[in-house]
Amino acid sequence: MGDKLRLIFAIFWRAAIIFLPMTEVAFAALERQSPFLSNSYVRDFASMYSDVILIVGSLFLLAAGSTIGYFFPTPQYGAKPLPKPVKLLISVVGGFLAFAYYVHTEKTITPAVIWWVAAVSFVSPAIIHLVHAAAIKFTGIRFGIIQEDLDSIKKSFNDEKEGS
Amino acid sequence: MDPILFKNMICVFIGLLAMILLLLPNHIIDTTSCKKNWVAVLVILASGSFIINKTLLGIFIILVLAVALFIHYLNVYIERQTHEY
Repeated sequence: MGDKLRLIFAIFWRAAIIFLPMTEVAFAALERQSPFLSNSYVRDFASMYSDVILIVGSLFLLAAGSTIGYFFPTPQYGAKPLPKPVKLLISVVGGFLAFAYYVHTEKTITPAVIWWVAAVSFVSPAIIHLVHAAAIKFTGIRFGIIQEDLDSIKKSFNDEKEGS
Repeated sequence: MDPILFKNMICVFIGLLAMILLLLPNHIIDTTSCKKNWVAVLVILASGSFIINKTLLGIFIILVLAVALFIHYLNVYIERQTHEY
């Protein structure tokens, strides 16, 4: 548990460095005697940097969707479940592709993109797994392979690994 | 996207419902089989595409889902008929 906490802390401060330039804006506002976090300041920030806020929000929901997809049980069907780091990677890749697709087709950023990125990053590992399982099943039907053959193939792979 | 729009609220609700139903244990709602997982995945994708105003994409996904469900239940029906006679 301590290792995990240390890892989370390390990721947090590395992510915090990215947002350091924003604190410079805040300190500059304080030096100019303009009340920081006042209504007018927050409204100006929200209207001027709305795209940045939306991108940060979609990044946050990308992390949340990937985490849910990571701890989500893979369907107990067909092929062996994917290794967990690969699932995380597939989630992140799916979310970024969804974001790029949205920006390319709509040419703007609206709050809708947050939910779209979250949904796609949640769903993409399951899609890859199900397509993989379906492909194995259809090729099995075509070449007359049954479940016992698949098990023996899996076993032979394991034997090779142990032998080398 | 206007979050107060009825369409978007319905889409978010349906997507969250699908996620929660998938997370429930299998003795309440059985999602171990491949077909039921496909249903959940397509429902979440359709809700997402309706939210970003890609209506045609959403309708296409829902049509695929409807055709697949139709074929599945037709298969079940035919198997039942052949077992009876």
